[in-house]
Formats: sequence, structure tokens, C-alpha cells
Amino acid sequence: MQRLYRTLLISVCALFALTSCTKDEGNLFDKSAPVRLSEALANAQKVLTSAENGWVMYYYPGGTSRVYGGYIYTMSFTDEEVTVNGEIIDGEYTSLYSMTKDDGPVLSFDTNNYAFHYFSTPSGNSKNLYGDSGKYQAYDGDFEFMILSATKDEVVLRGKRFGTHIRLVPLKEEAETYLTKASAIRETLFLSTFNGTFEGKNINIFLSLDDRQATVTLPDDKDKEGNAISHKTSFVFTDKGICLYKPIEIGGHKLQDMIFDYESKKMTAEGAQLDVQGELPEGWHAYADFIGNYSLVYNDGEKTMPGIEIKEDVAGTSYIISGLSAKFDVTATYSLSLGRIHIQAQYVAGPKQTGTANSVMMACWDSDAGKVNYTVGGLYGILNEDKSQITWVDNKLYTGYKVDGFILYFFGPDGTRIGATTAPWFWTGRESLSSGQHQAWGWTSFDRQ
Amino acid sequence: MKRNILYIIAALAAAVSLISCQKEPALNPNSIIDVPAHAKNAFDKWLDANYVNPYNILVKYRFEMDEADYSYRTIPADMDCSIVMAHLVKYMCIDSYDEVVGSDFTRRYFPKMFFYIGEWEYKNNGTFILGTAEGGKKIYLTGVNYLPRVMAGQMGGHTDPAEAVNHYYVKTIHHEFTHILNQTQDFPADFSQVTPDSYVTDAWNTTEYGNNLERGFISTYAQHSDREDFAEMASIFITHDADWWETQMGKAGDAGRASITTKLDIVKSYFKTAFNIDLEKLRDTILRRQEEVMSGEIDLTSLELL
Repeated sequence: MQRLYRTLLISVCALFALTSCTKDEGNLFDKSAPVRLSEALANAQKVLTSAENGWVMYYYPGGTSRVYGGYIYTMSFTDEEVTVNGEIIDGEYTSLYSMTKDDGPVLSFDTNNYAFHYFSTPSGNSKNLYGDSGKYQAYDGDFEFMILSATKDEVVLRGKRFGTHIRLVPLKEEAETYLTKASAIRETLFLSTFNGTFEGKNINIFLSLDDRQATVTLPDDKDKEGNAISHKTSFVFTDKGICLYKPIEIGGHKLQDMIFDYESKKMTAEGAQLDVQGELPEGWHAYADFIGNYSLVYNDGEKTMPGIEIKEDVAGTSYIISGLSAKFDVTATYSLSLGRIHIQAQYVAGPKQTGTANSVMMACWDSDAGKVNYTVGGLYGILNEDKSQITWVDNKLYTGYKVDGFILYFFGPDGTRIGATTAPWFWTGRESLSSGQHQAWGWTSFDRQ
Repeated sequence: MKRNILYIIAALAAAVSLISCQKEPALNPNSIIDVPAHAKNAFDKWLDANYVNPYNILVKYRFEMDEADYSYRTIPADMDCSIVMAHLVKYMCIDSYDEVVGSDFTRRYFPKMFFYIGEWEYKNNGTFILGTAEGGKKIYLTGVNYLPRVMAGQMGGHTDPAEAVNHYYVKTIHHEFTHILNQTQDFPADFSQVTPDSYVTDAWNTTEYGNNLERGFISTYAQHSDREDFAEMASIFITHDADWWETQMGKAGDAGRASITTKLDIVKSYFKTAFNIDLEKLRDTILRRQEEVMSGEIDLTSLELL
């Protein structure tokens, strides 16, 4: 019984001790959570609407694996509306946006914006409004974002559903100007491999341009297994070069924004010592290097057709080749990534299947196999080092055959081949052609005159 | 001894009751619930005047993930498309019921919320969902951004704009509204017994069941289940004219026609007895209003407040 008393007594004491009345915990914040949330939203909206030229958004669809890389949008906010332009859809579109509280402060693009919602738009068996089909899960692109931070220099968001971090950086110039510059970068930044130094360390940067993924390797820094340390991340093309998804920290320095210079093929960085040189593919030459006067050497080097000229068509993109025939010119393109000229099968005269009269097609052919291709087959021209000669090689797009020249055919209005061309639809210098006047096989080179 | 123990227990209880913390600070006069409000735009005001005030119906045209379905990827509705859609639904659906049965019926039974999204809800089998109804309260309308394409007769082989608008949206609303009415008053069990063994659930869109008319169903989707069959019968009947219906019956053959006609009689009598709706009269009203919309008589974009 005594024991019972003691137990009860202890219990009572314990009870008092346990329920001891301590003062309330002091509030960590001087305002309640809902008030702070409202303030955060108001602040974020003020930041978003205050940027003079609006913002550029570095947007990453594809969820946390970011398989599509990053894309840019320009945005400007008023109190109710947002105007968006971007690299996927050309043109400005305006829609509503909301600043709401569900998972904390949230920015939601809550009415459709054709420029912005592309990566979120699914499709079924038939084409959707973007022409996509078969993507019932779209591209895992968010349009509702948690606001992680908002200052006048940077707004950081996180996609509510797919979780990628998305940054907005204020534009220093008009959106249109920025987009034009960024478009030029995407067209000219064609190199995949860059070697050089970052803050005194050897560095190798490999860019997978199609899916916008970067691998940054430090050949002198080894992990435990003795392999060079390597960082993989995604990137966006900016107005100056590229920007990595998140900065990579190397020896206490951060690498994120890189500036590409087309003339020198180098990349540098602002505020950090980056000096990397892009590696050109073998035999690469600039667009302008191909322009000039040539003779075609064909029949595997036996014959020559002089008087050919490569002229500028669309600068940096395509050429006109005259002199192959008195009746027509040929169009060639410039492959920036390879630094080569490219001639493919093409219609050279007539209404091209759509009219009522016959057309003339320059088809490419495998003269050994006697097979022709009317679409993708063709020849690449590689300029030699002293720029005196363009050597022709198969573009390997006519699968199973080896293209070595071109042949001229008449095509009927319904697209069927009628037969070999007759005079005057012949090559220039036809008297020297081997078998028929409508064919030139064994293209070897263009020798500069 | 027992008493002593009782005392102790009493003391203990007293102790517990006496331990009270210091007085609570005065309540904060500001509510912590602070709903961020958008400034009302012209469309919001139009919705207030045409949906909220007369019918207590909320139209949510701005995206809210909580109203959408996490099983699908989707996008917000386009504002301009939403404006046209709200006019269409008002003129072709709500006003039709108002005209035939009276606004008390519409106020009482018509779903209290519309939620619009821009895309269809695509399933991985290639089909997509046109719309759903939840608990008699909400109609979830998908594919709103396709409205211009649908009204131009350029969507999925539906070249007649009226037929296309019916197929993609309006029929869906009547279909979902039928579900809501069914949830208020269940349909007769006789209906399920007309073609009891022919329901095929999710296989309804396979080629095997492409001959839905001959099998006794007005649409392929009607083959899903008796509940869907009922909603398809009602919604297709009131959105198509007698000639169209007769053409379908011609295709159905004798057995198909017999089944569908039996079902239609049950549907008609259900609407008459449960809600005093003459289905034929409702059809005439809907078709007349449809004609008025398609001929361009009705302005579908005006946000003027009358």
C-alpha cells in the first residue's frame, strides 16, 4: 500500500513537472504565415511587373531528367496579363496569369498562351493545335510554379507538377532584340567539343546540341576510381551563348553562363576565367570560302566541264551554282556543322509536279548500280586546305547506294518519270559527255579557276 | 485506504484541471484566410450577369489543378474560346431547358459549376475524353481551345459545324446533364434489360464493336454500359433532327431499330414522368436555337451587359 501511495505521489509530481507552464514559444517570424505568404506574393508580383523590358525565362520541360534541354521565353507582366514570345512559336501572345496560394506562393499561367503552353500540350492520334500527335503526356512541361525567390535581379521558380527549376532574368534590351540574338546563336553555335581552361584548370565541354545537354569534364581532376571528374547538366541557348541549368562549381568558382564567339569559335564567361576553343570538324570551311569559279571534273577524272560558278544565294545558308547547263541553275546548301557544300536531287525547271507541263529534275544516281534517287540523295563538297579544290563525296542519304553524279529527267505533271531530257535540257559541254548528254557520272571535284 | 486513494485521485484530477496556462493573448482581428482576388474583367462581369446571378452557376475558365484530373496532362482554356463557349452553353443548353421546363428546373438541377480546359484528356489508347460530370455538381468541359476549329467544320471528319459542335461539346453537356438527372432520379431498370448482354465497357471503341447500330446502340460509346447508353440516347436524340434519326434507324436494321426504339420510349417516359419534360419539344427547341447560332444570328463574343 505504501508503495501505491508513493507511486501515486510520484505520478502527481511528474504530472506537474510535465505540464509545467512554460511561456509560449516566441514567434520565429513577427508576422503570421498567411500574412507572410500574401506579402511574398505581393512582392513577387511587384518584382515581375517592375522589370522595364520584361524577363527572359530559362524554361526546362521534361521533368527532373530534363531530357529536352532548356528553352527561352521572353515575358512581360502587367497586373493581370502576361505577354510571351519564345523560340518554339514565333510571335507574341497575351494571356492571364494568377498569383495564388496553394503550395505556398504560386505563379500560374492559368489561361492558354499559345507561345507558352507548347510543352504542356498533349496530343492523341490526330494532330493537336501545334501539329503534334501521339504525345498523350506532352513534354512534361509545367505552367504552374512555386515562387522560390523573387528579386529584381532574378526570379526562381519550381514547376509544381514536374519539378524543374526555372529562372527569370530581367532583360536589358527589348524582348525582340534578345530573341533575334538568341536565334543567331542557335544558328551559329554548331560546335560540340570545346577544350581549354577554366580558372587555370584544364576543361573539356561537350555539347549535345539537339537535346541541349552539356558534359563538363576536368581531365586532371580524378575521382576515387581514377576517372576524370565529369558534370552532366542541361542548358539553354541565350543571346550570347549558353546558360547551364545550374552552375557547376569548380575549385570554388562557378561556371554557368558562357559566351560564344563565332569568329574565333571560342567560349568565354563573364566574371570567370574561361577560355575554351571549339574544335572544328575535319575539312570545315566557312560559307564564303566556297564562292568562286570552278571546272567540274567528272567521269572519274577523265573529263572536265569549265565555266561553273558558285554564287551567294541566302548568305550563310545556300548557294546558286551556274554554268552546269545553259538552261538552268542548281541550288546548293551550306552545312554549317560540317563546313561543307551540299547538292541534293532537285527540280531545276518546270512547275515541279503541281502544274500541267513537264518538269526537269536533276536526280542523283549510283552510276555503277544504275539506280536514281529523287529526294534526299546527293553529294557533299569538301574544300581542301588551300581552297583550290572541292572534292565530292556521297552524302550517304540514299541508303544502300553510292551516289556519284547527277542525271537529268523529264517528269510529268503527275510526278511520274517520263524519260531522259532532250535538247536543249542538257548539261553544258554535253559534247564531251560519255554515254548520254543528260548524265554526268563520277563527279570528282570542282577545281578552282 | 480506499478513500485515501480516492482523495489522491481527486487531487490529481484537480491538479490537472488547475494547470492552466497563462491567458491567451487577444485574438488577432485580421482573418488568416485571405483569398487573393483577381480584379474582375469584362468576361467575369458577363459571367456574373448570365450565370452566377440568375442560376448560381460558376464558370471556371482559369486553370486550377485541383479542379483538373491528375491522371491526364492538360492545359488551360484559351480566354477567347472560353467566351464563345460560355455563350454557346448558355444559349443552346441552359436557355433551352429554361424555355421548355422553366427556369426553376434549370436553377434546381443544372450543374452548379463548369470547369473548362484547353485540351482533350488523351488516354494512352488513342481516344480522348470529351467531358465528365462529378456528383451532379460540376461539368468538366475539355478541348475548349478547339472550338474555332470545330465551328469551322475542320475537326476529326465532322465537317458540318452544327454536328461538330454537338459532337464535341453540346451533346457532352446534355449527356452529362442526363447523368446528373439520373443521379437525382434513377432510370427504370427496364432500360438495362433491352440489350443486357451487349455492354462491353472499355472495348467500345474497338473495331469489333464498330457496328453499334446493328447491335442496338445509338453510338459506339453507348456500348460502354447501361448508364452511358441512357445518357447517349437522351443527348443524341435531343441534338439531332428526325431525318437524321431515321437515317440511323435505317442503318440499324430491324433488330437494331427495335432495340433502340424500345430504349428511346423508356428514355422519353422517364423524362416525362420524372421531370415533366417533353423530349420532342426539348429537341425542337434545341435545334431551333442551334440553327440560330449557326446562322450567325447570335453574337457569341459580346460581353455587353444587358
